[in-house]
Amino acid sequence: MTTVAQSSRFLEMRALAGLAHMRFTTRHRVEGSYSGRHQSRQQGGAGEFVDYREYSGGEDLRRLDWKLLARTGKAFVRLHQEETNLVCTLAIDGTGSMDFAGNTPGRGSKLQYAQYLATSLAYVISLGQDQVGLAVLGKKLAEHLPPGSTAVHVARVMEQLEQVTTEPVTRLAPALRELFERTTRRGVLLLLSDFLMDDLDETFAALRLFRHRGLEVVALHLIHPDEETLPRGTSFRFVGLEDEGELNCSPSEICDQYQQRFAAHTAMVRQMTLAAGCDYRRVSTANPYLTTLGGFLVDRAG
Amino acid sequence: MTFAVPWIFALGIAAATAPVIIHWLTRPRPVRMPLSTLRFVREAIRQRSAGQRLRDFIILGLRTLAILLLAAAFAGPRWGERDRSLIAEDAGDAVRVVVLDVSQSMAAADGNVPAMQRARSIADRYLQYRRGLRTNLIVAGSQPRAVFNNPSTNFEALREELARTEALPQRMGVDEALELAARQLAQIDEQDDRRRELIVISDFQRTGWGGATFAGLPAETQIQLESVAPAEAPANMAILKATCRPLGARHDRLQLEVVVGNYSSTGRTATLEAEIGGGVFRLSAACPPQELTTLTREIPAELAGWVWGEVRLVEADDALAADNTRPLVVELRGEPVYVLISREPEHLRPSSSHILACALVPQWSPDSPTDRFSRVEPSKLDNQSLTEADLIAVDRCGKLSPEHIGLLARQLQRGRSLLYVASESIDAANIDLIAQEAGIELPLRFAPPPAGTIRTDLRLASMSNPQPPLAAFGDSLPSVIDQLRFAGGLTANQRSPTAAQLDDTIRATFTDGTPALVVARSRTGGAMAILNADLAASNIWKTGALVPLIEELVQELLSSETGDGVFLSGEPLVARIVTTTPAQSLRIVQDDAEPETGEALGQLVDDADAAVWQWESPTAAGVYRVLENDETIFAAAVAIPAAESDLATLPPDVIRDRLAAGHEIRFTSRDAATHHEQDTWKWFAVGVVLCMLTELGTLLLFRT
Repeated sequence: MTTVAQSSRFLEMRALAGLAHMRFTTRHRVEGSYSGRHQSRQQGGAGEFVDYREYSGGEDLRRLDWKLLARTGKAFVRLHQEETNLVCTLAIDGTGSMDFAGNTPGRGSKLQYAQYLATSLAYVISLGQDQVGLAVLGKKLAEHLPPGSTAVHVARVMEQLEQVTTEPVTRLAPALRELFERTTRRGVLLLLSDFLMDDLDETFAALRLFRHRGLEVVALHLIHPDEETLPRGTSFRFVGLEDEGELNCSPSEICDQYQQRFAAHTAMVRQMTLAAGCDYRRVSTANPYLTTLGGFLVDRAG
Repeated sequence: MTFAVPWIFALGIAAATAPVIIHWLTRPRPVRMPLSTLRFVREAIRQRSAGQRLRDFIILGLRTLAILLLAAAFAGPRWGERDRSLIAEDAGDAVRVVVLDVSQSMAAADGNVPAMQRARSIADRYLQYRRGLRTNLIVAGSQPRAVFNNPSTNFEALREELARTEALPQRMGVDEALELAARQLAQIDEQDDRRRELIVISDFQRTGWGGATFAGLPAETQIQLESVAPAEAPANMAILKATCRPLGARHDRLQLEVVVGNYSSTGRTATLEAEIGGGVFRLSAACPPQELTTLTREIPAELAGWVWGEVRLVEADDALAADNTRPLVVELRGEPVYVLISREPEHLRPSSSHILACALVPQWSPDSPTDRFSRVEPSKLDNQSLTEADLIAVDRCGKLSPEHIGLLARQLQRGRSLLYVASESIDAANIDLIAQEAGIELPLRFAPPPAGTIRTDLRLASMSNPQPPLAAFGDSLPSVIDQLRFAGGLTANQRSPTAAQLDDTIRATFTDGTPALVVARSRTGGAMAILNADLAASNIWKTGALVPLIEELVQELLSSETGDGVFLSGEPLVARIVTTTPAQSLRIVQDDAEPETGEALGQLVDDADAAVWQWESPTAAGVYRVLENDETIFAAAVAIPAAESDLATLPPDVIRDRLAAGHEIRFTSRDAATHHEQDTWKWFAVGVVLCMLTELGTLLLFRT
């Protein structure tokens, strides 16, 4: 771990020291490979007693509850849930709009924010002995690291996070579908995106696939504050970051309409996310990523 | 629509593009800025353009329209048919006649621009070259003349002639001009189907055009009337008439009579200066608006013979200056020469003839004879004895022989006057024969009184409307009549009592109904007065009324009905001058000008014992004299027709409706166009204001 912390510029150990006690939890029962602190879907014998079931012939007699037999004269089997580990995949939106850094000097782009947040999340997840993977979504699945928990693996995840670049595309669904095909285990999919793609419906359709497979999907909607309103001025030539061309206009004339449009889009994304059975969280890049991370972990802890 | 100043409107069009150009030049350079996605910007622009693009388009349109309307308002817009001539300047064969009014009223100035100047400008427009057009110009004075005998294509010559035209001191011969135009426009043959166009450029004075009609023009003639008169007749004062009338039998005084017309809306004081025979006299009177005022003044006449001069308005600031002066002439006969035909002896006193002689020449006496008076016995009466007589008096002449009757009748026919004092019975026959032979119609027939009747103590009947010469007594006439007693004389057989009463040749009657004084004129001008009384038996010579009565009577008998010596400029002048000198020895001069002879001032031709001065068309106003060895034997005053001073014009609807006679006619007046211009620009200004208000409303509607 010490090696991993020193190699990634998006991992600020000192800043994360305050969150070292926190763990990324999931509200749902997970399916993990190893025993961990997350509730497993599978019912085993060493876990917490949850219920009785009548004994049927051929079952393992070691699971028979003899005391209850002696008391009642009837044969019942004891059922237990075993705790297991979390498999988490961090999906980063690699479309061009993520490069938007706004007009305020010193404020990074959404992608940088996602890199910081994802790196910190990978670190926290790794602290909990859980598995973390990475998927960079672009025109297609640009990069995919299946979840793992070894230090080397986590280091590779962080290393890949450092190298994430955007592509001038406006569609995310194909990459998500490809990721779905590669995802074999249940777990958590953390999608960090600004949801400014043209194929929003297809994207949420892809997310529903993950849900149908039993994965928990958490959508972190990254919004740059300079996106919510247009800059002040008489005349601007806006250049689209996703190869949309250029557009001259006077922001003062369309300011209100732009804000209405953007707010409506944000609300729509939230509605669609919730309708898809996913968790939604609005993340403003104006907030420090550690504040965002802390709040997110606290909310997850319940 | 047309514009009085089109370049201003063109400037306005350029100005309308100025906001666009300025906006394009000053628009801010866009700041380049990356944006995560342009989707929302595009959607916002689309959402905005649904409303605000419409707003911007409306605002731009309104502002552009406002600038154009403002430019059009300044450019003097003219709208409608009034500013379009009926005459189309399209290609096509046409015959066009331009009638240009050059009467004196065309010199009237409204502001600083005479109507003639405007008329020339309009006429020049119609005399421009166009293929297929043949045209002619008629200069319409009192005797209109066409520049060419027929319509021509020599446009340049027509315009040169046009440039030389000026307003003349004449009236416009409207009927003659239209008749001349009709001849010019007449079809050459049946195949001649060229379009006929008549353009009349005039001020359409009421006095000249009131009786005109276009009925004589060829059918299908398009008539364009161009009026150069202002809508409101400009103020004008004018001397309409100036005459001098000799007063007294001896013509030792003149009655100057001047008629001044005030053609303005306010009363004005007319101050006149009359320069006559070397003397200068002033008259002044208040002249009410739109009325004629007569000013009179008695001035001394020191010389016999022709006296001339002029009357002028002093400090008259009006539209037409030419009518502020007027020439006048008068012939002063001087002391008349009397010849008394009587068989009464000269030394017999008191006798009727002696009394008459004293009344005719009060200063005469047998001891101091004068060549102004001579007595002739009827037996010695001949043509020679009457040669120098101005007035022939007859009293107690007895029965006149047929030769004497003829002699006296011829004198009457030649314009001489006869005073017959009827006191004897034979006078009735004499009077009847003289009147018959001289061609004088008397309202009654004198007859000797019935046998045994003595006419005595006859009194004059009262008169409700005294006529000359008794009117000279004025308010004292009744008291004069009361004193008078007459005797002798003749009775008369009247045609009808009513006719006799109404006939103004009977100047006085006695209370018994018989005529006391009859004055009749022959067709040639000679006058015959019959005083029906025996002067010796009457008391009139004792009352002092006889001399003034005879003086007034003689003045009337010797006054000429040939006129006041005034001839109108532009009208033919014909004057018969009694002289024995051959015409070629005479010469005509214009007062205060170089003497000219020959055709310039007319010509003189011999006619029996006179010379006839014929001048086809006097051009300039003034005094013209005929000289015989430096002596003026005749003078004529050529003046502007008085009707030209009334500048009131006919209303356009009267011209269009009453004069059209079925022709297609269009009337264009200067002030109608001006009025339209003055009106039209206001509507454009209203349009500008409406555009601004609409812009404000649009901005409020779109919440901007």
